[in-house]
Amino acid sequence: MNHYSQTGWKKRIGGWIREYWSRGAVVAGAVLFSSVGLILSPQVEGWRWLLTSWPGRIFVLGVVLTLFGNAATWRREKRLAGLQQEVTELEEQVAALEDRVETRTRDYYAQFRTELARVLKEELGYGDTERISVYRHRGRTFQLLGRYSENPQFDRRTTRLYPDHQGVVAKAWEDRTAAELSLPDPEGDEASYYQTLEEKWSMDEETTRQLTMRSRALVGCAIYEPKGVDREAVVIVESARVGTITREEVVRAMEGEAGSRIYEFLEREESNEPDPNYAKEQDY
Amino acid sequence: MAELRDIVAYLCDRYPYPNELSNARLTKMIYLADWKSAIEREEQLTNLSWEFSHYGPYVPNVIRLARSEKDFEVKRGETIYGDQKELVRYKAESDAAAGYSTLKPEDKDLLDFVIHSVEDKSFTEFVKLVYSTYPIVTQERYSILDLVNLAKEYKEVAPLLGS
Repeated sequence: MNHYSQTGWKKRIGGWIREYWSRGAVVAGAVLFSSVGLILSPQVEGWRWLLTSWPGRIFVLGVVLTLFGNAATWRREKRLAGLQQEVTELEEQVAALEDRVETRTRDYYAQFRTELARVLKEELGYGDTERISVYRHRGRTFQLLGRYSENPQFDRRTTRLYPDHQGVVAKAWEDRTAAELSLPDPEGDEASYYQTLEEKWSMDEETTRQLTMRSRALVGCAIYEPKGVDREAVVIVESARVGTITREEVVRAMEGEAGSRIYEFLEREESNEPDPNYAKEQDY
Repeated sequence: MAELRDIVAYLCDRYPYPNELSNARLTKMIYLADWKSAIEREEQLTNLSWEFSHYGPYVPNVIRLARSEKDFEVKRGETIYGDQKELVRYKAESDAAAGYSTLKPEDKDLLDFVIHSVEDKSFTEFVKLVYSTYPIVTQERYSILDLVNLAKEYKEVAPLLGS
């Protein structure tokens, strides 16, 4: 037996004594206490009387029951301690998993933003004058679920619920694709910019003034589930300049790899997707 | 106005799975109670100032209260992944008989509504519910949530949402 296994045994015995010494003391005490009567009694027949007389038999039975009862209790306590440890570990795992579940939901927008950055920069090859946004249709509104622009000003969100009868997003949801490729320059002719948006896209001036990006070109495209039957979301790619984005390029990307990437994210993360309809169903 | 101490004690007493009541869950349940109250009564149940923090709707008051009041116990520990966890427990029993003095019957109804609406939900569903409420859906992270005004906005928008 090597030094390490000897140390192991000593530790185990030490641990066992620390764990069970009190119970051992109770058993020993009970036996010694009962033995006092035996020691003080005259032992004419020697120790045979333990088996031949009623008091002796009762004493032996008492000792046996004390020993067996305590042994059984030890085993049971050991099993309970093991189960309690298991419960504690499982509770810790639940707490850790809960934290991870919350992280998934908490980081939904950040994860989607990363996904959309790849689509805009790598698959479409656009730069910091462009932006991509994804909307879900909820009742009679559109909910903004994801957005990315390299430009921090365009990347911002003022609100995430929009009425479903305004803008390119509404038209794309209705007609599968929609585009506005040359809006007036808001820096040069602001009035004409607002007027075009109001007359052509039903966006009043107050709404337009709240936009974080005054786009001059926009292309919208509905995203379908793989069977191509149901519309799942609308993607809007927009640019602050005229001539950078084209309808064909965006539609081709959304009907191909880029659209699949967006659909897969929506599908994969659906259980974590914030949905005001769900809160409304729950009376919140 | 209901005192936070009574609200936390009531939730700890009535929530059927006390072992699940982490600081995060308890705080979010109080957020749901405040949001529900803002929608239905045009005032919060508490006077807490909610922030849309990194941890969703958050106030530090719940855990501070649990740490400072002798009737509460905070079990602190670390999960097997090294994450911090804090379980909040209510130790005193006297309030159950006293009826949580600052809670009116309608406050208790509101808290019961919150308990019943989340008790059978998985944690994924619970978190999804919190993050799907109008203030969290519409406001930017790190903003202060004016629940009463947001509830007014929500009541205008809600009919446009699906059933």
